[in-house]
Amino acid sequence: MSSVSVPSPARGSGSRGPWAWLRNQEWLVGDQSYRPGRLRGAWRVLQVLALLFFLLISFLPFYDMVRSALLSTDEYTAFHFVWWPHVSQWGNFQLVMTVTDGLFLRWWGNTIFVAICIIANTILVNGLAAYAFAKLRFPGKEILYFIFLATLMVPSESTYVPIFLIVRLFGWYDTYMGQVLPGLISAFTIFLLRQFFEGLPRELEDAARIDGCREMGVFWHIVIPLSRPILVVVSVTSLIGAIESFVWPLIVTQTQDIRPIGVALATLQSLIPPGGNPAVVMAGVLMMVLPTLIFLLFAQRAMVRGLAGSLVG
Amino acid sequence: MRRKNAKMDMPPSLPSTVPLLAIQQRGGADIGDSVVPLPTTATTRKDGRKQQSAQRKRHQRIAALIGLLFVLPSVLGFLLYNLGPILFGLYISFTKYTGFGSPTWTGWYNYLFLLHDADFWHALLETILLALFIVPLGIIVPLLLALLLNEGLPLQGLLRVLFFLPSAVPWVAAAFVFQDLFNHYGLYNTVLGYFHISPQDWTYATSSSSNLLNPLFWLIVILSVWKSYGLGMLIYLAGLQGIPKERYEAAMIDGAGPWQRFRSITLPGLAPVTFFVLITSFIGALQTFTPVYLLGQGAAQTVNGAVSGGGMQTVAVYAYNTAFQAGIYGYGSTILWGLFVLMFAFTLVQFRILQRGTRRKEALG
Repeated sequence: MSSVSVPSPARGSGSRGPWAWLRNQEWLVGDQSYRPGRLRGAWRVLQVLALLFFLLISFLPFYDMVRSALLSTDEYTAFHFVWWPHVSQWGNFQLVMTVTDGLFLRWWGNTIFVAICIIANTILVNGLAAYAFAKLRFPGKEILYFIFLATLMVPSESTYVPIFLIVRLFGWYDTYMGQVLPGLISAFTIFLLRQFFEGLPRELEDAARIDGCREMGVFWHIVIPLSRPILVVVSVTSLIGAIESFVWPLIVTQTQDIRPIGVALATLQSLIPPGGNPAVVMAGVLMMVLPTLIFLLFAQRAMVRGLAGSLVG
Repeated sequence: MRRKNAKMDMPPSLPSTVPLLAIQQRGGADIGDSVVPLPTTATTRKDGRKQQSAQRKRHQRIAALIGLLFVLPSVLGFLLYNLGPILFGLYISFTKYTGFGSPTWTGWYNYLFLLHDADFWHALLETILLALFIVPLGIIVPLLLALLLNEGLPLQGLLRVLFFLPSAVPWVAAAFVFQDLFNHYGLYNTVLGYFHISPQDWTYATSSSSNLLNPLFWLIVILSVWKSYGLGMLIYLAGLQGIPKERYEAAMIDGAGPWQRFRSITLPGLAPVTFFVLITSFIGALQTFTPVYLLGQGAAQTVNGAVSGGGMQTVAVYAYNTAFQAGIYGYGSTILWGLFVLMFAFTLVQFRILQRGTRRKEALG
């Protein structure tokens, strides 16, 4: 029968400092006040090994990305593996721009433009609808909401064919409109926003109403500013979705200069002139991944800060 | 945390023209209050039943209109881009439509053809096999990582971010990188060579009719798991932190060992999270498109109106090829609807099993 004891930290820094986890070997509890089990050091060693293994698996592709981007033509097409290029070909990145006739930045611009359209629409149209569902009363509200949610079950893949036909009908094939449109009305966004709005205290709206605000005023001046955390989350998700988008832009666009980065990158290989450096493809991949990662790191911090701030109020 | 929908008490600074009774009845100022100030035609407080003046009814109607107006743009867009296409796709799946002219109704022909379509069943088998491997790995690996990173290690926060990074790499990029890693002279084969294992080229699938479990299949499994364990890890971490610590304390007092604690506290505590991850990763795995499209196409071609995949095809890729390469929109829609019906049926079965499980637990407990 193991006894539960709460050791005092009087033993010295070993039970508190960053290496405390090594000494206080409890398992799966995460609370550092219990006695260790039978397997002491062996378990910790196993955990460290497992972590190292997963770290290796996680980062091997990144290493390969950087390595391959810097290879020269000979090294890339060699019949053996080159661990690191003899001379790093930093010019490959410039080569990406040349090979694509300077469209690479434009592809990024397309992606961001599509994301901004979707985000603006989210706040205006989806936000308004979510607000109506959350706070207002009108006939058919429950039925409508249910229908919205029901469509969430249908995978987007199933709708690509008919949406394509509709988009083509409107003449929006191969345009920005065609790219943006299917992502605009997202039942999931409405659902998320509605949940958030319902959590906002009624007193603020009521105070605004008594002060003479109409509904639109309440929405603009009260609800939207209060919703910053969830709007940040939705915006970040939209931007990441735009960066990742592949299938739909593939279907609906044809000309290179309005394509987003995902689809366009897939065509990079065919743009290399014969005798050109095939490592250019990996350089392009790196140029796509690196900004995304950096953005995500900052976005994560912003989201956590936003969510934490919302808990205070 | 913010309070939800708290019923409002009387605000202290109420204008005298607003009848107290109306606010008390509805528990708060409502939309009708802002449109026009209420008239002083309130009944006495002893009267329990609401008596609404005609003006109040008009205010409510305006209120309802405003609500409808707010919802209108999204409803329009919804009809056009969510609900409409779903129904339209269903309609198209019963027709023969090549994109020119108008669709010709063919009834159940497409679906009957689907049942006999070898390519479809082949693609479906590939897709299900993919899901069969991706989903369990997509549950075990994130769970492992979450367990590892919930212990209070040094630099734990940093490690969590690091393990999330693979999920942040877009599919297109990841597909190309893995192709680079696993091709004939890539890193993987080189390392195998050090162990004197002969190199395999993982990026070209063998003939699709003979060997289903070709190397490209495993490449895509590994790629999918690699890409998805970051997000799964975060979800499991949230789930782990939701298990109350008291249970562990009680178990330790009762003398439960670590493995017992894991089995009877951690695992059941994670059941809802696991269920969520199971369903979403299964649905996602069934729809695998990008890596298969980029790496598995080989020489996909249209032969006699039927689309033949080169190497490896999932159902989504097959549907894409049929609809957008061969221009057979009707049948393409049929394929996608067939997949949807199967997914839906499977999700229903999973729900039923879960319900029966919890009902049995309730009956026993």
